[in-house]
Amino acid sequence: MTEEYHLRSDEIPIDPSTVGQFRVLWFLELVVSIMLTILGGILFVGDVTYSIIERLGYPVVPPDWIIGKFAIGFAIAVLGLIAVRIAAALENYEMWTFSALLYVNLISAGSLILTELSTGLYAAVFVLVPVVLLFLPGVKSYWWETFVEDMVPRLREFRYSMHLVRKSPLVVVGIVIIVAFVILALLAPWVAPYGPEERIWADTNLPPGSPSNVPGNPVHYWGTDNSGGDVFSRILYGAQVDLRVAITVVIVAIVIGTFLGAVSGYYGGKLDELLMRVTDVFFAFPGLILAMAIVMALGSRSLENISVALMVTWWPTYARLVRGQVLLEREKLYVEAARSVGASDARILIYHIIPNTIQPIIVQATMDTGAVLLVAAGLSFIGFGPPAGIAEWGLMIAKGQEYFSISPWAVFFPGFAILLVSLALNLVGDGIRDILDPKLRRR
Amino acid sequence: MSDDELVLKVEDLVTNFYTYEGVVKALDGVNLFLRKGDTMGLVGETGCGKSVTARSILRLVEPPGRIEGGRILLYVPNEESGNVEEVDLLKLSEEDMLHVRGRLVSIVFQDPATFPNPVFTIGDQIAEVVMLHQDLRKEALEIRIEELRNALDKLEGKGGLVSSTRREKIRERLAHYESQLDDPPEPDPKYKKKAALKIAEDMLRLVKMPAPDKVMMQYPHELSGGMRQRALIAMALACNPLILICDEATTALDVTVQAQVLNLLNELKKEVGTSIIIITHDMGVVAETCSWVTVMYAGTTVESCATEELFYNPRHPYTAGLLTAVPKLHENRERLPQIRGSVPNLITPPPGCRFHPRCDYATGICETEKPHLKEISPGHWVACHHPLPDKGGKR
Amino acid sequence: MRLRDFIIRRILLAIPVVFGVLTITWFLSHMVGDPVVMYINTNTPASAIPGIIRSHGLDQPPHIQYFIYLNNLFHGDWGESTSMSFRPVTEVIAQRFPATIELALVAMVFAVLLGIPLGIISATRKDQMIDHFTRIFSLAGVSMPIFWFAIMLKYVLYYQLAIMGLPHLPGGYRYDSNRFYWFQYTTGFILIDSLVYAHSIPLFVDALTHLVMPGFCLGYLTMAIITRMMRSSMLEVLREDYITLARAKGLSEKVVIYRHALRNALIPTVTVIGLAFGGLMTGAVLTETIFQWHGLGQWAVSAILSADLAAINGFTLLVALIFVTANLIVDLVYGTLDPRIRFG
Ligand SMILES: Nc1ncnc2c1ncn2[C@@H]1O[C@H](COP(=O)(O)OP(=O)(O)OP(=O)(O)O)[C@@H](O)[C@H]1O
Ligand SMILES: [Mg+2]
Repeated sequence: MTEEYHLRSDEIPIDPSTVGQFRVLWFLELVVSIMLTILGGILFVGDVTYSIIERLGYPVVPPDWIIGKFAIGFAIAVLGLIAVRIAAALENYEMWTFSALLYVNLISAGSLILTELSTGLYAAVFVLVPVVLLFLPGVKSYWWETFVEDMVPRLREFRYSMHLVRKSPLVVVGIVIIVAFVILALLAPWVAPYGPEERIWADTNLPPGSPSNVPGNPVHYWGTDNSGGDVFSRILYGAQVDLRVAITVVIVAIVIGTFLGAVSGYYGGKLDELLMRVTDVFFAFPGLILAMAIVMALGSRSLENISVALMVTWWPTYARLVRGQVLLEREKLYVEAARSVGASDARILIYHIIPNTIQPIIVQATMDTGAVLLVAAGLSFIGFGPPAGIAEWGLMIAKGQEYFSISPWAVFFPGFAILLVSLALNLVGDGIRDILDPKLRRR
Repeated sequence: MSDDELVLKVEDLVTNFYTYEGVVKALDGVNLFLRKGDTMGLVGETGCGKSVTARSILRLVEPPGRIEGGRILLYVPNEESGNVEEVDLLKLSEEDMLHVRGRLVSIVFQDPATFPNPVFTIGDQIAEVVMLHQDLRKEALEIRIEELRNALDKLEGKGGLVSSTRREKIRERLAHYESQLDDPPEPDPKYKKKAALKIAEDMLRLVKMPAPDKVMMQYPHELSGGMRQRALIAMALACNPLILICDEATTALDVTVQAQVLNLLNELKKEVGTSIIIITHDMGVVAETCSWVTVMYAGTTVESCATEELFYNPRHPYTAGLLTAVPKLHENRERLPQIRGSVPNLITPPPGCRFHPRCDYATGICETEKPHLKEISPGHWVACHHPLPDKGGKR
Repeated sequence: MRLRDFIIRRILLAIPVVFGVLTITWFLSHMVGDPVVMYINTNTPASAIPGIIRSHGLDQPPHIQYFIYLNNLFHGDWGESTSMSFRPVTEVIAQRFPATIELALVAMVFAVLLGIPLGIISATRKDQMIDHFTRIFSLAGVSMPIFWFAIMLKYVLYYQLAIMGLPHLPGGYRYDSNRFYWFQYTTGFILIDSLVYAHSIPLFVDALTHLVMPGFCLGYLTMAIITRMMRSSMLEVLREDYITLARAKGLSEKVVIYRHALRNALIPTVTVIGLAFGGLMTGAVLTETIFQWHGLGQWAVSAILSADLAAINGFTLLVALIFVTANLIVDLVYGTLDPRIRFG
């Protein structure tokens, strides 16, 4: 990306008639960025404050829309701040701002929809307006050509990656398994013959494929457990629970880790030193054991606490990963720095660092989702999980184990489900790591 | 030129790489001949297939690459009969090939930083190839005898009953070993290694390595680039190979070291009797060190003749263009002339003569028919339908 | 000389990590959780609690508490394990440590002996049938819920075989205490005690058969990690220039791989072995209960079920210290394997 450069406004060959359109875009982006920052700030600060007050023992009734928006609020606030920088740079016609605006606004709109606020949807639409404005003929001429020039080789690389994916059977198998499980989990209420906590006391310890003793009830495909729960249905509902835990843990770990890693790598110095020592300490604990100690300290046993413990355990991985990438990129930038004058932080972050860290993060995240799934199931197996009765794979194994000589299927199937999902995630992660690895990527 | 002075003859060598984007036809009819005791320069633009040629000769082309045709003839003197045997390397079994690599044909690669194995000492790495290819029975026995002699000398000074019986025993063994000198037995590994290390140290001395005894015990990362390159050359020459290929062996070095290494190679050639192929971009290097030059273009041989002949009387349009592109000291031009157009894509190379799209003299035949390497005047081979006129003996 | 400097530097670097570990366990036990829980159980009368708080310095400001905590740890006072009838944590650890370490070492030996050859085979036959098979086999090891694997193994190799009246592996415990009722532990390592102190070959054999299933179960994950690492570092090394040079010397493919490539490929693999020790400790927690193996892991699980905070705290601390030590040792081995580090 050596062709990036700044144009001073008096250098740019502006068609005077388009300046108006450009000004509208600039103004709107400014409004959008401020709005994002404030909204994200409210969600983040609000959630944190309420939980602190709650911890201190004061009864509070926080508004519903704030509860549990910790991570997403933080992300939106950061996106908003980046957007502010973009809007500021936009005024000077800096070339990079246009494509940066495209990406940032798209991501922000996505995050807003994820907040599940009713107003989030309107806000998302509003955030997308500048994206539409980018494509006005007047504005498009500023940036479209360089953008295409930049994208064509990326697209070619992407197509080559897809070719490699198709050529590695194990990756394809992994993807198929993951997609199948996600779909089944989402469709559980329609696919599963029984409810997640439904117990048919007449049907205890039935082997796979047996008809129900209650007339009119569907067949128990994978048998029943000791309390008459249908193993197949419970596994499908369990997929919802386990996948949700694994995915949220990894996403939160990525958000926290990326932020801390990027900041520490970018600014370096004492901060960096401190953060690296902290991650060293975290790496001194095996994941499950630290998580175990954390849940123990938190007191109550639930999937929520398991998730929190795993988030605390997992972020250092990403902090290290991102920091390493940032250092690498910074190194390269020193060379380029001589040529491009006055590169702003936001520009460097967006243009160089984010695209280059995304690939290793995706690989790591895929494999980690499998690892988190295993550890979460392990934690709930040893007794940290939700109360008995909830459909969760680790807990199902723990309960089934007590009767495993009578109904081994109640242990076999949930464990096999864990193995399958985790294996699929590892297959995909392993495969795409090889595919993306520039050293292995021979043509 | 009669064939019996040759040591290597490569005929119509074809090597392809099977890649995602298509088949890279890296070599398409390469012809080389190397005479005994000669130094041949192999020159051409980057990507024209010089390294692939070198690797093909040793059959070290790695997948997705494959050698698909041609002959690589090596003329090996048979020590007993004194005759020269012709061996086609492409027909040898992989096992027989192991006896060729390192012993008959050695190679020194471009980058001294990445080629030595980082976890073994220089001494070990040179000794390894010596132990592999040389019969060290005599050397090992000699080392053993020398050690016994030294032990004896040490005991001489001391009196006493114990040492006198030990002296007796040592003398006995010494006599036994000395009687074996004419037909040494298979040595035990320890002495074989010692003998190999001794030869390795001699090799380091031969390549003018400073402090060879110390370097023997050092790891590659402890040496400078020039020293590493010397170590690699020592490794390649350790078994007195018939042919030494230097694939840009000096490009990574700075100019003074480069000159030293080149001079060294020429000296060694006289001493060891090896024939050398020097692969390089640098016409200056060719002019100084080579007696014969082969020019390659896009995977084909285009011209092959004595060095002087090439410089003063190039017959292939590509060679002529290449030579005018070389800056000369006495000329002061604003811009170096260039050959127009660019190096062809080797996946879809031009049909016929691969140079024709860039050639000022191209005609219809050049687009359809591939020119073959022909001896158009004594000692001058050119692959061109319309070679440039002979400038005669104008030197 | 310089190797010594490297060792010293590496040990010095481990010290802040150890302090960090202590700080985290302190933070978790004293700041997040309520430390009083460590010293009481359900039978403790409510009136006694203020006294307990005072006597353990829990009413002091945090930084004082921190120093009390460190001081106690250094003097061997790691609290009392309420689930083990208030025996000192250090005592329980000392008693159970050998069982877990013995199991972990057996698992490790198994993992290394199988993992390294598999990795080499897989790398040298890349994209062939055996490579696909090995990759799935090792990926399955990484993806296997180890507790489930343990239960399934036990179900097939012990329960089903026993029902059919076939010879079967023992389903739990470290040795057959009915047959060897006279046996007393000396060092705690049964393989050593049986031979050196009890002079009983049958006991030794019996102990070995008891080790097979839990050892394999625990070792599978580690083996999978080692295989994967070995494969990828071998693939990387085989692309290096010095391998081309080794081939150009005329060395046979076997020598190229086992002499030139293996030594280099082992270097990153050794690091992973250190990390795998953490996996073994995790695995011990999940498998020991299933095989009634009276080690640290089983203790930890029972501590969790009875909310024994001191035990969990002590266990976490211990595992972290073992992990740090294992990585330290591995780093030192690394230094001797790779001359570039040794002299760097
Ligand atoms: N592993 C490979 N895969 C695909 N193509 C290859 C491979 N190795 C070499 N080639 C192709 O073979 C051709 C010749 O390469 P080679 O390395 O021999 O060039 P060279 O003449 O040695 O160049 P240089 O002077 O830069 O060393 C190149 O066009 C290259 O694209
Ligand atoms: Mg080359």
